[in-house]
Amino acid sequence: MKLRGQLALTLVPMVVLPLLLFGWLAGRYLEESQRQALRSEMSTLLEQMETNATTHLQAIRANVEALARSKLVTGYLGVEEELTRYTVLQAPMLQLFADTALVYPDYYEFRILLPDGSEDARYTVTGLGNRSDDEADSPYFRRIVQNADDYYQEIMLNPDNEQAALLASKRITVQTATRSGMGKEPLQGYLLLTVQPRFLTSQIQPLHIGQEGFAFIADAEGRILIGPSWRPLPMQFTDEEWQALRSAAQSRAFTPLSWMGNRYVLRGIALDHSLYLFTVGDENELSAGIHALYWQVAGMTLAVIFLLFPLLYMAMQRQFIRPILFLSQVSQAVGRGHFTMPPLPTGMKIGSKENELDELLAAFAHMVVDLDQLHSALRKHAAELEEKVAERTAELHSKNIALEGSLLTIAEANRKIQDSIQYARTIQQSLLPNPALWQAVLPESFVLWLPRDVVGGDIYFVDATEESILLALLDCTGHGVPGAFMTMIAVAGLRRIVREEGIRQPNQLLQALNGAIKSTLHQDSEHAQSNDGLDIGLLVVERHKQQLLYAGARIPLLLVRDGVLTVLPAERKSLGYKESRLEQSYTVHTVPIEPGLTVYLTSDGVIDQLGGAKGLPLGNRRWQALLREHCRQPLAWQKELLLDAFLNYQGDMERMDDVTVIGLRW
Amino acid sequence: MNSTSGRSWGGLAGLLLLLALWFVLPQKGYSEELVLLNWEEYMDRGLLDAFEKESGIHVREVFFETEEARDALLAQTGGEGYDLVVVQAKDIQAYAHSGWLTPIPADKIPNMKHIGAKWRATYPEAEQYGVPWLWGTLGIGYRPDLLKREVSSWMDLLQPANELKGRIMMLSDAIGMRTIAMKALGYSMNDVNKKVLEGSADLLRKQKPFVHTYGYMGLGEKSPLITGQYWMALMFNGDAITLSKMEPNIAFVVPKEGTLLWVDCFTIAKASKKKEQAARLINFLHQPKNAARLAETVHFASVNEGALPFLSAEHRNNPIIYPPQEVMGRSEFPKNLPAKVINQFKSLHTELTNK
Repeated sequence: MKLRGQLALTLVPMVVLPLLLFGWLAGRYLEESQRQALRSEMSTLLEQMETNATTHLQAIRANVEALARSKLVTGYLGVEEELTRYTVLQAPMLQLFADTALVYPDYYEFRILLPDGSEDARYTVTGLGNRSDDEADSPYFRRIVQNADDYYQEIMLNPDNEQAALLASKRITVQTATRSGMGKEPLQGYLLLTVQPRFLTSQIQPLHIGQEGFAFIADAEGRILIGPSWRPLPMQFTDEEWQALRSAAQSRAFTPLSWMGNRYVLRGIALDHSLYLFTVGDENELSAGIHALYWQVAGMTLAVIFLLFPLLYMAMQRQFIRPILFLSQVSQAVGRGHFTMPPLPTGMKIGSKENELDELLAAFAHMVVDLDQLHSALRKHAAELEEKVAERTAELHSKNIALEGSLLTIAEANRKIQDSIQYARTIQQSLLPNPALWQAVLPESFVLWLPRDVVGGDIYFVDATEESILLALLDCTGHGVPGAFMTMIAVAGLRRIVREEGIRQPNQLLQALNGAIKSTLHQDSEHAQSNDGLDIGLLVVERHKQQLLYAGARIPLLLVRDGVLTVLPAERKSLGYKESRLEQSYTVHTVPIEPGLTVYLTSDGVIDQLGGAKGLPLGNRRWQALLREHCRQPLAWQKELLLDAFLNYQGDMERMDDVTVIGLRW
Repeated sequence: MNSTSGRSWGGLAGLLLLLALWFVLPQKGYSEELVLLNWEEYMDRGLLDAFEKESGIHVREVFFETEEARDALLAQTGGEGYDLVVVQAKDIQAYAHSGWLTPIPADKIPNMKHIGAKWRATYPEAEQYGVPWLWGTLGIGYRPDLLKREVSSWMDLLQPANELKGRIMMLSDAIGMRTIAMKALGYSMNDVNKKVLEGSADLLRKQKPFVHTYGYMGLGEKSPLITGQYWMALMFNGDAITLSKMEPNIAFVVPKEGTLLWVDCFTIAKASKKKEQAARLINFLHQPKNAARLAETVHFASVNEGALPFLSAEHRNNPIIYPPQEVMGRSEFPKNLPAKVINQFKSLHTELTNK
């Protein structure tokens, strides 16, 4: 996928998904905020209404009680005779009421009721008709009389005008000398004040909570006395509805209510026994508002996404992809041999180092310049080389002709050499022990003899008598033809020592062979040109004693008995070489021959072979591990197994040296 | 004590003595004072000065503008601070029952003998507590020069023409307003059937938009009837005469339907500590010469028959002061109004005067 496409796909989880999540969270938060805001508004309005109502009710009570204490009122009720009251005392009292009404325009009816409920005096501001001047049977008068407190108030529908009114009443007790002197109860009456509850209606009637929410006031029976002026309300709640609302008002809890075919949430306050304030929130309006809110949030989120995504994409493309594309174009041009930097796209400049891309661009530009210079130099150099090549080609052509002649000569010479080497192999193989003799004296044995080249420096020798069998593995200096020459010298010497001189004791034999090699190669004089020699492992099996004797020069003998491998070390002294001494001795190891005893002689070509995973020498440790692994196998199998293991280890590496392994078992 | 400090102490003592004497000794040459609660412009100040000169008792007047104002003063104080109170005879019984008045010591007022028997008999229940003093009528004072016509009926006042809107003053008297409305409807002011009461109340309510003020007519040069602010007013006859002395264009009429007759009395406050002195003043004022002088001063008719010879012909022959028989025959003293009716009158009065 192109980088542009990857960029676009990357921005989706980086930008779009977080924005969608944010939008959802914002919507939820705003929804909760809307609900809280509605409830907060309802509660605040309710508290304001309560404070307002309480303040005014307290003021009304204070005024009523002050009026009730005034001399004009107490003096009025203190006179028992009606004519006197009406003639001289009522007018001043009514004037007091009138003056009070001037100060408090909402106080529109003042009355004095006698204990029997009859209306004794009345002042009204509004010219309000009086439905009755006998309130004895009025429910509110009965409540006034039954009230324990002298002060009583209630909100009610004024029967005179069927409008909401606050009725405040103060029971007045007047002691008069005449009455008390006659044993009668103090004269009582009631001062009643009817108040237009404008302090409530002015607040409630125009009130909107949201668009459709409102407030209302109900009395103790659930009659709605004051409500919004902009919508009608039922006059009365059902008993069930009112019971729930009254409980909610007493606990000041939010209460859901299905009412007038709509869903509302109400919160109320019971101001006193007859005054219940409620604020009402329209749940449908809230839900609609929340839906609209969610749509708005969704729209805004999508708008931000549709605005931000292209901007980010363009910005990132401009910041990252355009430089890359530019570099790609320049690279292609360079690849086509155009080494000139094209004009940079707008906003890009070389050397600003504001970010890594700018640094890359600067480096690329330098590289292009360098490439241009190099290309020019190369073209020049190529032209020079072409000229020289042409010269040399002509020269080589003539030499080639000469070489061809030489090659033919060389090929003929090589053929002759190979023929000689093949004949040398035949000669060397004739040095090897007679297979029949080998099989007769060492029936249970194997020999791996692998010269590195056609001929090699490893050879083995066997000689048998009635008393002993002599076996030797010789590893002569070098390999190939030189090594083969050494094997001839060594075998000839060994044969002479064993057969003609009759030396069969290992130490003596090795000493004698050492002398023979040094003598043959004139290594005992200063004029010796050859510093060659050999390593040897010599084994003498004494038949009658059922033991074997072993001495070695740099070739140890490995023994395996009951699966345990033991190494009989050889002397660290080779035979031959200028530095060897004629008198050097060799330790002879004696090993009893027991059934199952297996011995191995190995030339160093095995140990020194490079291979394996790391190209390291096989080494004594790995070779001994292989012998332990296969020591219990029949010797014929061991030959194959050890050969396979050696070749596997060698792998593709070049053969280092001649390889010889001899295994014997009793 | 050295001479300097001695002089200082002496000066201080003298100052204290002077202060004590200022508080103790009567000022202005009188030994005591009577407080008379009265209508304004309803007394001859010269007579009071003469009384002071004679008795050494200074009379200080406290004025009220309306009867309701006077009642409010007395209700709030219980009569404390006042020695004499001028009250209409019709209200004396109620005042007495309120505990504000003390029985008149008739033996201290020998000049009561000059008072016409009919005036003392008009309200017999008032005789124990009040000494009749002046009597008069209610009528319509008006400006014929401004009105461009004569007035003859209460309906001219109670169902006024549009031009009179805001140019009417009504005497703030609950009984007076209601009873003349009842007379305007052709009824006796003592007829208290429901129809009469409702009709008279309705009449007064409908008149209200035309009424500029419910109160008491000022009797000075700047009186609204003189200045022309008012063209018509319900007022006392004597007040109209007082104003007409200053503005001859002011006329007064007792409408053809008849009117309310009234009698003012002197009363002595129960709370007064100077009842004898109060009685002495009453007696002084009822000396025939004094009674005549007082009547002429205030332009009202005296109940003191002994004062008649001392009255000027102008006063004695003034039909506004002494209405002819036909007027008297159509007019009434309001009395025996039931308490409930009084109650209604007072309520309506309060309603009309406080909107």
